[in-house]
Amino acid sequence: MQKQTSEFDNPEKSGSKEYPSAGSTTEQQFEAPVSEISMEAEAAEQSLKEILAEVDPDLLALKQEIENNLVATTSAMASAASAEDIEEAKIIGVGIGMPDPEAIMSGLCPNGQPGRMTLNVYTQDRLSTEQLLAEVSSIAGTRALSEIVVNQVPTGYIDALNKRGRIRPAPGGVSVGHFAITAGTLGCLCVGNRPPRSSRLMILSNNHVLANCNICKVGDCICQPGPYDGGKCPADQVAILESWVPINFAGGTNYVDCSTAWAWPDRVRRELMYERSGSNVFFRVNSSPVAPAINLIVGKTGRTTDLTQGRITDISATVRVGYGAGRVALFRDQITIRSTSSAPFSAGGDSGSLIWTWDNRWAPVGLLFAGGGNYTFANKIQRVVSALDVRLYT
Amino acid sequence: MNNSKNDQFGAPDTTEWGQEMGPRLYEPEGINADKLAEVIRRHEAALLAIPGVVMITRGMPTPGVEAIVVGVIDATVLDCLPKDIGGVPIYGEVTGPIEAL
Repeated sequence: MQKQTSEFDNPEKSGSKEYPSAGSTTEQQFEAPVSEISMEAEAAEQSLKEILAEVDPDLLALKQEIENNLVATTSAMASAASAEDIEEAKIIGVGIGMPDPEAIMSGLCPNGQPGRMTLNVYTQDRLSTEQLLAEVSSIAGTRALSEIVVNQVPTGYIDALNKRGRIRPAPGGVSVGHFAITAGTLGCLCVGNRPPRSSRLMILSNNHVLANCNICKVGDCICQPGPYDGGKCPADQVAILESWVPINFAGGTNYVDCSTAWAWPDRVRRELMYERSGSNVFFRVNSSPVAPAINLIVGKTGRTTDLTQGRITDISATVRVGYGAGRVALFRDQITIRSTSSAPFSAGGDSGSLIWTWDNRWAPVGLLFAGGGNYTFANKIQRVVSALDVRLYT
Repeated sequence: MNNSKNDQFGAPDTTEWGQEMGPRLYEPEGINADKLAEVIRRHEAALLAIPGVVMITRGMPTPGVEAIVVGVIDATVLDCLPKDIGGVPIYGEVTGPIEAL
């Protein structure tokens, strides 16, 4: 069942107001931080000092030790040679607070008393009291632990609320990638035109995002987010590589850089997503592709530059595209797009974004794949669906 | 909404591997073109043969006058471009390399 598009926010509503041009007069409405803000910060710092002055020094010392350990392990994660080298941390945060009645009743804070300060230990999964105390002891020793009330706060995986994070079910516009690449964008969903592919729900993106520039095989793991954004296989797998149009690096002509990955239906969703004021906004686009036209205003939502607006300036461009490692491919009959503002229409990591008409049709026109010199290039979506023998499921 | 309730779709199934999966060749026949696109098509190979040319597109650098915009990797290549082809003005622009994103 298709939802009515009125149920979703229209990117057009946000319009260019959310993306003012650099140097535009809009910027003049804003002033540099003033002393009033600094005074507020100072007052908040003073208030924190007063509160902490009443806290048991042993509790503060223990919190500091765990905090130091978190800093050290986070640095180690950042410099790890590979994802496999990163040890899964059980404690992911620490703080000081008061237990709520629910924590006392549920056993998360077994020795908690109303009004008594606790060491808040944030964990990815709920640990038994013994496990938790063992974890804390391994970091800070057993010193003073018996005197301190520990409050466990299981939060699950804490993720940045952005398009480079893990999102389930995953919408269009977020980070995705073959296990051996960096990261690209999940364009949208599609299904095959005939059995058995008509019963496969598939992710549509570029060959160089899902099929690693032809260096791949059927069934390869596709993860969300892409590996560069922390996605790992199989923990973050959303799909397996299904099909791709090989890119010709031998001087022949290419028309499309596209691929499909067969998704687990409960790990993806047909909406596209962009961010507004720190919140995720989901919307649907039409599933009937349209031909591009010069001067058509289009939009896209991608992993790196999120929601942007552009204007089609060519519908039959020829372009020589570099794919790294000295590989170059010639593409013909491409759509050229330029941003309607001074902000770029796309950047690295936006590859695979679906491009749609910025009007009440929201009709797909292209699949973003390359860029340079303030130009963005996209395959015609009609060629993409034809080449992959799919229909869009948006 | 997500698709977990859409039971018409199956999860990836290893027993189907190889069935309609894998690389798909795409070699379409000629491209429909208007007059300008036709001029570009006829001269595209010659333009691309100039070292440093990375893009051939159409544009309107001067209001009301359509031109062929040729992207080049650096300014030294601009001097190698013709002023026009088939009566259509050529507009050289330094784009730098075009990269897959």
